[in-house]
Amino acid sequence: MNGPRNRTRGVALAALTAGLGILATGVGLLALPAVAGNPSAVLDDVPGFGRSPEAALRDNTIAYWEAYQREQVVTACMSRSGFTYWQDVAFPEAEVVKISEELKAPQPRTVTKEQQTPAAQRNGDYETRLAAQDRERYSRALSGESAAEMSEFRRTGTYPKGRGPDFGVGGCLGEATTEVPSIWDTKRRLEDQRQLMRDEIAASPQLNAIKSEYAACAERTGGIDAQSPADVDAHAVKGPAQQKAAALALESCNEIWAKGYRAAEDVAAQRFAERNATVLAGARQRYKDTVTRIGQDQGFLRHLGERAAVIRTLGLDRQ
Amino acid sequence: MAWSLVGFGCAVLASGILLLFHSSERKGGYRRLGRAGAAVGLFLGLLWASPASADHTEITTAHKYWTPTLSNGFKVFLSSPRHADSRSRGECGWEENINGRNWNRYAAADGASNAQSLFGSTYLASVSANARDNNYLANRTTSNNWGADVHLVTHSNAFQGCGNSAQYLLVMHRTGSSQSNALTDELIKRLNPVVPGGSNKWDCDGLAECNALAPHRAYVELFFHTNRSAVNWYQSGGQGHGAAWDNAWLYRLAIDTRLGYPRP
Repeated sequence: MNGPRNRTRGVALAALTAGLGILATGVGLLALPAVAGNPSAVLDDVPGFGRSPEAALRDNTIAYWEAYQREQVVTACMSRSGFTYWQDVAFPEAEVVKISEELKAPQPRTVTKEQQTPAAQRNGDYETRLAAQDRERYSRALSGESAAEMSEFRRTGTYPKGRGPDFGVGGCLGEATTEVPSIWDTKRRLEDQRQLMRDEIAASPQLNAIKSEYAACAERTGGIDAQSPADVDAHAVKGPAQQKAAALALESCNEIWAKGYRAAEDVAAQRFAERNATVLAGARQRYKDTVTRIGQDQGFLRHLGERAAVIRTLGLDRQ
Repeated sequence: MAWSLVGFGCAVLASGILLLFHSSERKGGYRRLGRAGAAVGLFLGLLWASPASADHTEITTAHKYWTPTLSNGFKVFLSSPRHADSRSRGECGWEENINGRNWNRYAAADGASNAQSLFGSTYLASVSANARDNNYLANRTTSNNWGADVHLVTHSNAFQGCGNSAQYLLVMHRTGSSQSNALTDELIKRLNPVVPGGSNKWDCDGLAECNALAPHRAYVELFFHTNRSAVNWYQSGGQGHGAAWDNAWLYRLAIDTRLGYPRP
């Protein structure tokens, strides 16, 4: 009688062992990006260029606050034209929750049905309900364009004939963009300089120095002849079997590459800072009191807390 | 894939515990409960671990977001289609809004190998909403507000209705932007060998999303959802079988090639 029971017990123990093994592999993969070391912090003090987790969160906080301010401008501008407008601050939801937690924004106890309706939908419904003449006025006030052209533009994603990026960005939207610039403007303006920095990193002695160590690792872990992750990827594109070995090598040798990259980035970022000292000083100056002002902006904190509560209620922050 | 393994591992573990319960000296109801529980646990685990968890049926207003513990500092915004008439654009298989978002998710994090995904390579990755609301401008604004370095749009293409023979990969760039042009070339180089048919490259100057502010931007029409064999290729699945979505990591390869494999 004990035979079947012992067999079941054996299966159970095997399942327990297998379960633990699979679980450990899964948890290990989840933790993969948490490599040792710290990102280069040379540019951390320049808003818009933060690399450490703290500086990156500061930059995102400023970016979200600016986006909120732009929507405040649009709301006031539309109100002057006699229209209701619900502010629609577009930002990745999980990041909004993180910013709200960092600023300890007050959370409402409950979230109403109205708050759960996306602002874009509320604005769309409002616009649709307007009489034709008012709808035309609404469209021109918001974007500077006719209702018919905007409707077609939304449907197709294509600019009307003879128009380009200047289309749909006038009216109150244009006013907001002019009044509230972006923390990312400097980064975008310096893209050529950032490319130069990347070129310097690619040709750096620091990355060159780790090539033999990387090659030994790639050979040992994946049986691949590769001095860099680019070489490993060149192997991976050959087919599914090679891809598996390449993934293992990429993962196993990542820290060697990262060590060289960090060292090279520190030097290149320093040169970048020196070459662009005046522009970067301008960014520092422009944002020197911003974080303090954000912490004191009660209207913003209320909005942020509400938004985070809605995101959590609807589960929009889940991966 | 990691979450699938965690889920499957938990389920196998739970099944083992319940089987132990079943094999104990207890009688009747307890043993039946143990056996039934083990079967249910295993079933739920398999369900969680299956490629169905890749959300290839999901229509959502939410942007998904992956933040590595330490990031390389580069933000990649993967924009999905938001056609209001998705499902009635001549699709032979899944609707266009699903096609774009599914590929984006696999490029961001759900691919066959975590080490080869954007997230696994320490990029900050956001996959946009794919709601049927024509609100692609919200994708562009989110990308701009977030400060994306890379804005990559993925749609599936159409020519007349389902059953048409047209099939090629199309990658579009913004005229006058060297970064956009270079990323487009890199994407064609990587994707062309795996996507059925040939490839085409032209500008996307007339499309609003092409004017996202990210310097590295491209607009991909991955395959024709009106071509039956291309649809079969796309719907062949992913996660370790050498099938279509397993090639989504090539986005990361193209981006890494352009940015020099940044790692923290």
